[in-house]
Amino acid sequence: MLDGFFSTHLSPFGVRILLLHTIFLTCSLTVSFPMMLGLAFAVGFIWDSTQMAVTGVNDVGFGYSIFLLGLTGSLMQGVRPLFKRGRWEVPVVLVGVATALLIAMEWFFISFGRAKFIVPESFWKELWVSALLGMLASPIFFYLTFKLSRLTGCPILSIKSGLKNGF
Amino acid sequence: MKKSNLVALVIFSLALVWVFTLDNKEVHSVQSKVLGLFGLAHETVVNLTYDDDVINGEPISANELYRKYEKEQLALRYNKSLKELFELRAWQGQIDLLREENIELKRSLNFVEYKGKQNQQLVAARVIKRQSNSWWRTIIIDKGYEDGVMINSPVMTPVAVERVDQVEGALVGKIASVGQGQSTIVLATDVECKVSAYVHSAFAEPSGKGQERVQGILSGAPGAGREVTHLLLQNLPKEADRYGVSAGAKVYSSGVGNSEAKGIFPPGLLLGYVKEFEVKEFDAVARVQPAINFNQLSYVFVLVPITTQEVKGQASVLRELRSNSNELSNEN
Repeated sequence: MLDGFFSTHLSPFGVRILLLHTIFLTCSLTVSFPMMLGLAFAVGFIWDSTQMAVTGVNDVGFGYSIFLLGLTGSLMQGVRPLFKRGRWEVPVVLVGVATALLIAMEWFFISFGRAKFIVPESFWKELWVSALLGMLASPIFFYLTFKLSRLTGCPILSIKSGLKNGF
Repeated sequence: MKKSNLVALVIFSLALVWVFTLDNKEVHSVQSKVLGLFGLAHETVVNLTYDDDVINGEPISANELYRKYEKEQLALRYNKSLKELFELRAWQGQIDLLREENIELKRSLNFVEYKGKQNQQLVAARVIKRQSNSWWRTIIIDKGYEDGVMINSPVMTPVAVERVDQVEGALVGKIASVGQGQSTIVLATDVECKVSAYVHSAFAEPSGKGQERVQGILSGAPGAGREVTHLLLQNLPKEADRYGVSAGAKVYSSGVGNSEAKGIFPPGLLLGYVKEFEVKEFDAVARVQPAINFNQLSYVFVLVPITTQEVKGQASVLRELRSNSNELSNEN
């Protein structure tokens, strides 16, 4: 919902904030690998169902987001040891990198589908602004995840070290 | 790699393959179900975000359009919209033309009323012909001697002064030849069309009180055309600038004749505005920007003499009206 809301208001400026993807990327650090894959499937499935054209031909196949989220989620899992130790700076940066990667791969898939590799003028701006917005938003989601964990009493992998270090 | 991770990866890959191999129908059915699940939430967002993006129930957002219609339908709708756009542009052009014509006609009406009060009779005429080889010299109008037009009759057109409804007569030229239903006008831009004129200083009072009139002869500049669009006010005294002949000063016809006691052109017709003033060896010359755009003449007015009978008739009507009003005031 929020994603749609922000997209509508940010699109005139030629930028996107991938809110759902950012939430997924931050959450993917706090769960196990199998759980992350399940999350990637669910989020990607919902994303494609709601965002792709119901009728007509799409440039990319249904389910491509699942693949992209699975891939970037796996990348995020790589810094989980750091996250466990309470270091959240690197994960925040990685959220930005993963967001940029998501957009770049999306462009690649679309171009591949169209059999035409054209870089739009706004591409680079969209890439870095979205990455930056993702990076700015991710600490909020990290904080909310820890807050939620504390409220519900449901432990997350790095809760102890995370709490010790300020979250 | 942990066994659980490996199993999860295999399941994930299989699920991904299943999703990728779904055919369009299945995808649409899945999408419809998911959208149905998220329908309420989605609608709320749509209401929040797309309210201004809907015109007559039709979305204008590209995403929404893409969602609603198929590619072929979109192409058809696009072509239809494009056709409508061109039609509307054509209509807009027509409306602009009509609006301009309306303004011109309103101005003309005010002008005729204004001149009528001054006991001047005007014959409205439409420009029907203009030849390229004499574009800046002559025009042909649809009124002739049957309408009272005579050779040397002055021709004018109303121009807005300061306010749109405030009109003033500007000189167009004079009648050079008259036919039964057509006449030829020699334009003021022609070198042969000479008008005795005076400069009304921009600093002078509107009444012209206390102002010395600087007079000269106005005619078209040699080679008048696209490059030369100004008129020349010649025979001005060298010290004319002392009497207010400067850029922006209005130039009017003086009504003074050359060989006869009375000139062809009535006094007080606006001719243009001084653009530049240049002192020469024996006299001075001013370049005058015409008050009207000679390129866009479509309606003009020919000043025709009021016959003695008509004057008498008008006078008797006036007398009658005056006596009636006197009687009414006496009764009150």
